[in-house]
Amino acid sequence: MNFLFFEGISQNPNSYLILAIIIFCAGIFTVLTRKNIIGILLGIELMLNAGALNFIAFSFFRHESADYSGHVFAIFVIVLAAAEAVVALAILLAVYQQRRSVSTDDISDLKG
Amino acid sequence: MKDGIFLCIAAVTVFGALVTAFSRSIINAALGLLLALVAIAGLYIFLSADFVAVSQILIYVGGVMVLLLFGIMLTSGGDNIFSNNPIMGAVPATLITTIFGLLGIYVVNTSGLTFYQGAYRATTRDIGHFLLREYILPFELVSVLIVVLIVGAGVMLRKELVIVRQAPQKKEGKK
Amino acid sequence: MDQMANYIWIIPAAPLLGFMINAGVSFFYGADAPAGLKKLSALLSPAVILVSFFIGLGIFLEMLGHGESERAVSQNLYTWIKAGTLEANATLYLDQLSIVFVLIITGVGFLIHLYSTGYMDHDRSMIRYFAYLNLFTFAMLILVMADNILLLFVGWEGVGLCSYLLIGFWFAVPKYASAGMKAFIVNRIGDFGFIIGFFMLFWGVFHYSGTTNIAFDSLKSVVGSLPGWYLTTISLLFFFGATGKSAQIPLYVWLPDAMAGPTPVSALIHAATMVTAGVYMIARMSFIFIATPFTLTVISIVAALTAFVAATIAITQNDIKKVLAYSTVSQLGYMFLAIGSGAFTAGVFHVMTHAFFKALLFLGAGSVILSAHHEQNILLMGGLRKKIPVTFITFFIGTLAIAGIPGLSGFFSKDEILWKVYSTPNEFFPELPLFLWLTGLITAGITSFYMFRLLFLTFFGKFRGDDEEAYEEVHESPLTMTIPLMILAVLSAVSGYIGLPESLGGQNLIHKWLAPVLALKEEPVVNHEMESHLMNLSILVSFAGAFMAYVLYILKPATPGVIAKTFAPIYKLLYGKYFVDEIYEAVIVAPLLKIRLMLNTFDHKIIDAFVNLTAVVTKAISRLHGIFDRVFVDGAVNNVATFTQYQAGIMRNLQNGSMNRYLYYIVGSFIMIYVFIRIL
Repeated sequence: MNFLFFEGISQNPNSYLILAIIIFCAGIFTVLTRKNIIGILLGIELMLNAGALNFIAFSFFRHESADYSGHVFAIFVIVLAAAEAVVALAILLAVYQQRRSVSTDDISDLKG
Repeated sequence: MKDGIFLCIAAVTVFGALVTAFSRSIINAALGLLLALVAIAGLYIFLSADFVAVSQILIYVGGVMVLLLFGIMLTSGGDNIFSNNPIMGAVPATLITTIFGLLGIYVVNTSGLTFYQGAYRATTRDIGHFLLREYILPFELVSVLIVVLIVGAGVMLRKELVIVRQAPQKKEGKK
Repeated sequence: MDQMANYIWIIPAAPLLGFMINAGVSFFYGADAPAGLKKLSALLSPAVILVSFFIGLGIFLEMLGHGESERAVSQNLYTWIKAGTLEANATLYLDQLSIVFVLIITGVGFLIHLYSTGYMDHDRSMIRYFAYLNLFTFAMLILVMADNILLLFVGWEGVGLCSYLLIGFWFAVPKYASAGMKAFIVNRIGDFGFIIGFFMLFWGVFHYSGTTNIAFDSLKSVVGSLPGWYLTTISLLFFFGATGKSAQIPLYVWLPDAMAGPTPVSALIHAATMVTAGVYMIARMSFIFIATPFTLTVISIVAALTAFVAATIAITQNDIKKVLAYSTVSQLGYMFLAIGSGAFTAGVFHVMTHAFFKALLFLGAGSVILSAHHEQNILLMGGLRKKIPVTFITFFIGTLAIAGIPGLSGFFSKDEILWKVYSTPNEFFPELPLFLWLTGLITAGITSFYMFRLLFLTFFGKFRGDDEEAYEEVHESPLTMTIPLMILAVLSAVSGYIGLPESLGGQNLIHKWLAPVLALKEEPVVNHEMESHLMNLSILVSFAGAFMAYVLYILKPATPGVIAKTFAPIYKLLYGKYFVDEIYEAVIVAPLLKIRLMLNTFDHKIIDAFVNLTAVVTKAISRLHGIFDRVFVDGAVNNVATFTQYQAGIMRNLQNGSMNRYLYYIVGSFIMIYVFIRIL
């Protein structure tokens, strides 16, 4: 436990990583407990951001010379998250048109 | 000073994430997410990722969040957003989340990775180079994917339009 | 010549066409065709025969204009059978022998068809009748025009079939139907011999000379290479076949019963044409028979016996058609007598004259029967000559002809045969020709007797029927029936002159006509003086027979009854037709039936038992199989299914459609993978 010192806390990689874990856990909790599909979507966005934060952090701390692969990945994540949000909302609206509901309790057609 | 700002931003981030996780109102949850996203953009700046931070603000806060808010408004899902099912309820979710968090902390502590002092640089030009050299193929694939998504989203929502158009035609036919 | 020769195919084709049309109409309308169609059929059926007759006549006239060896014409229609090296063509072949038969068949056939239009006028099934009759003509023409034995056999069987169909024409009467069956079955026995005969011939010809061509022409040149005993066997088998078709001992029994058919059928099939098929067949294969003197001797003896036996039976019969039937058997015996002596031309000559006068007699009998309202018993007739003069006169001419009264056809042909029999030496029994001749002579006397008896009983004296009304109602037959009678009467009278023997200053044209195509024995020593003596003797015998009949049935009508009583055993024997049918019944049919019963029992007791046993065993095995199936196979399948279902029951709980549950799975799986990778 060497990360709880205040000098250079912004320069310590572990602080970013722990923060990412906290955000990710918040995302997981959101995903697991929400009944509303949009809520689940919010959780997913949180998790994605936690991942992107990790990429940026490792990009910053893991390289002596300049290497922006992490940045590129983060950008991809952001872009794909946006795309995913678009599709998810489109599906959501389509489902809502049919069922007048966005609750996961009502959407259980895959029941075997 | 620097650490203070970092802690503030981190606190805002955690706060936003927690609001997202625990708020009863879906609108509040979305707004909490908004807060967290903006705060994460701030963290990016700490990590010398100015371009990504700007992208985050532009795409997430300007695009995705607006989209999500519209989605919330278009679907009437205001209250009772938590599952009633005890298996899906807060207790197992908490348990799993805790396990996951502890595992994460364990991994962070035992990773044994070598870290360097990060340097602050201007990144935009280099990212551009990377995107159009090393990552040209994923870049193009992503653009194709986005085109497909646009078309797909359009097709998916077109049905409603068709129905809306047909309904008055029938009425006119009766007249 | 070859102008007409191209139309040979029309000769059989025309009756076939007639058959097809009649059969089609008959099939379509059943028994009761419209009257218009009946008339059309009555017009068409004789017409097609007439077409054949004219074609035949044309070919005959063209033949006359050619040399002896160039007269044969043939026409290949198509290759019929080609099995390995054996090749049988459907080839029509006409030479001097077959043209005579063609003319008889179509000529007499036409007259009988014409007669039938009157005779069958009131019958419901007239069209069917004409269909059969045309088919018969077709088959008979195929028989005589065949180029090879196989095709000949087609016609042979075809006429047998038509004979069966026409004898049983009124099949509603069980007796008639069974008469048809009897004819068919008895013929079959003969055919059996015939079939074996020609199979042996094919094999022998192939084996000994390597020839695979079975046309008569090619056979003629190769039979010499076959060993004597083999050839004798073949010829005996052929003769056995001929005894069936031509009603010789031992297979003649079907012919008297065949009188169940309509009378014109009896005239055409069972007197004029079909029954002479055996004669034709033997004459056609004379090259075989002439090389087998033993067979010829057998034929002679059998033929003489047949002629005599049948003639004696004919004396006592009272059914007008039965008398004529036995007379036919007897006359056929004469033909075979000629053949047995190697005098094929005399045999064919007699075939021709017999065709005329016997057809005439049968048609006359038919006319009598029709006039007397279907009465066939001559004891119930009498005095009919005033009522039906045309029938009487023609019938009288026919009687004179068959009885051998000089000047008419029967006299010449019969005398020719008797002379040939007498003058041809036999190499096995030197005395045999004399006995044969004597038998023939006596038979001629008997023939004369029974024919005049028939004539006197039918036409002379007083009517012996039950009532006078029936007599008053007797009427002459229509013109369609009397015209054929007249034509045949003329032919019966004059046709003998084409065979006028040299001893009477004639040319014996028919002999000269046929001689080139028949294998003949060496001409016996010409002894016209002896021939004349014998001729006088036979004339005497004929007149004696006629005179006896006159005495017994005109002068003293009571005498026959006395004689019958005096010689009761002989009378009974003759009246009972020597009990041949009964003997056959007892010796052949009854044992066959017994054997059938035995076989039946064997079938039931042994074979059925075996079959049943097999069934029981199979059933038992099946049951075991069934148990195995149910317990093991089905069990295995069901258990697999149950197990799968059980597993699925577990797994399907995972898949409950709740999205949150899936998210749990995702996170849980992720944690597990995490743990596996990082910690374990």
